[in-house]
Amino acid sequence: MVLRRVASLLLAASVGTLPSPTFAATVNLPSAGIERGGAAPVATYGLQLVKGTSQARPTSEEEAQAFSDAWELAEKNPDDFGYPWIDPTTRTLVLRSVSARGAALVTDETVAFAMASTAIEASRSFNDLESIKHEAISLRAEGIPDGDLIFKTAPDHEGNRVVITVSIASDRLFKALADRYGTDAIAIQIDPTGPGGSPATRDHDGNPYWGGARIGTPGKVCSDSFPWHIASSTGNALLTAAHCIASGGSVTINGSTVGSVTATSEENWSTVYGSRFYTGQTVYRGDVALIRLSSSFSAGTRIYRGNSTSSTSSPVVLKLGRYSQLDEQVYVGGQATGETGPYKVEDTEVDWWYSQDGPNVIVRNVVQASIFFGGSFCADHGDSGGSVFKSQPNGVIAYGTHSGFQITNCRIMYTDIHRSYMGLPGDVNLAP
Amino acid sequence: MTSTLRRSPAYYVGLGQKLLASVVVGLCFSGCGPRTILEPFSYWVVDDRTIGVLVVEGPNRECHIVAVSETPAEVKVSAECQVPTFSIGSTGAGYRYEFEVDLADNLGEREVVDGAGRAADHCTVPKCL
Repeated sequence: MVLRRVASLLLAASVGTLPSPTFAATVNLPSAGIERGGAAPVATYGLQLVKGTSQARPTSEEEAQAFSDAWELAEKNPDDFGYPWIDPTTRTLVLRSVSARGAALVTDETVAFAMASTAIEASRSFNDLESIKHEAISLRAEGIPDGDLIFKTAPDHEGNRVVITVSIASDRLFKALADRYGTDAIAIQIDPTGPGGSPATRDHDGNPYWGGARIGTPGKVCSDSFPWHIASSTGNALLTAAHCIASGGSVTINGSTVGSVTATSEENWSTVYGSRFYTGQTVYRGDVALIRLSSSFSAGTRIYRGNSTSSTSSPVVLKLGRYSQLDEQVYVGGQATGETGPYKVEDTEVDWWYSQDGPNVIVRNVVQASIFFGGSFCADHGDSGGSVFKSQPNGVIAYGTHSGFQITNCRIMYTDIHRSYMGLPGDVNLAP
Repeated sequence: MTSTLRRSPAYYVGLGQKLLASVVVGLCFSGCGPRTILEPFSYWVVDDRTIGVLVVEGPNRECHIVAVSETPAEVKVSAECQVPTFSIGSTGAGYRYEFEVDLADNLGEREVVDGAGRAADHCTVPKCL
């Protein structure tokens, strides 16, 4: 039965695997990877990478008036013209006609400009380009992979195209953009100062927030495990360990108060007794709290990978749709130690005494797993609340939220993600 | 009629395990108390001559700044905590142990290192929150 379920999970995972891309530019991007900071080689799928837009730069009031008039002409006849441009070498206003009507209009004596002008033919209309500009800025709402990395779109007058600005290079996003708009109508700018851009790392995360990163709670330093969404198609929450914020309260990430935890109903920890029920429930669900983000912040669809200062990440492509089982192997990603593992599940539905925390502090209904031969460092203090996951070629499977450990044996305890989405509102915010 | 008492090999293996466990427990009672370790830390700049130091450790720890030394190139701060040698279990929360360290000279561009010589994590926000 277990094997059958694992096999079906793997099958489901393989269905979501992207086909092998045909790279049209530089490659060597890690599988399913993106990097905050924009330093990684990028698969562009034929899209041109630019430093920014190339827009007309008038040098006199006459040129400014002429360009404004040309723009207005295109706005009023959006299917007949492309973007206008001022050639900086010849100081000539360039009008692009895309239809016979447009060509006729530019020769019309009633259309006059305050500077020399010339007309050329073009294929992309003002209407086409403006539609792309206004649509691309909102692609995140359509579930385009990594669409939340787009934070600006703007016309490129010289290229008669739209420049789409992203905070991080993402091969999945670039492929989706190339498939949707082609490779001539748009160009890409990578600006790591944008939302979610550099210097976001596991220890200094940025909006939209990812799992496995450092969070601050009253008196403690912990990690978050997975992006979450509640009554929304986009991420608006995060999970962490309940003992990190046992009385509820505010959560900070990299200097910003990003949200809060509601005591008792959305965390299940007593500092005296350990696990307790969420309000109105009668089943112990380990050690997990729900961080609801304020409206100006959001959760992404990824978790950090690598060491404690890493900027690399993987998309969360699946959640485990059942409880963990013996001999499964998982990894932990926390802000103190980074990624550790593999840990092998030794016992399930365990109650364990956290003796260092108090004589009666018991975590209930968690999974116990240990590092076995070949493992790396052990999880440590500050990793609580971190991501417990299994890796696969196109991303990770969410397994749970790190709770505690017996460090002398490199043994961890975690709460199954299955318990969290049964006991809390919402669900894991999976990558499209 | 006489009988010979015979023990199986498993009996002797079990006896050996019990003896070993007794020795370990006995040793722990006599010398397995908390041990002191040099801690890595994060820091933030309070003012030109003061840095805040954040040590992240487990619950109920005794943590102290035990030494500060300065050279033109670096500021070395040794933070120590007593941690249990053996642990049945613990939450993985990082508890905050905060200190302020006064410097003899302006910090300037000097590197801050921990007692083991490792570069300390520089937080750009107060208290590393």
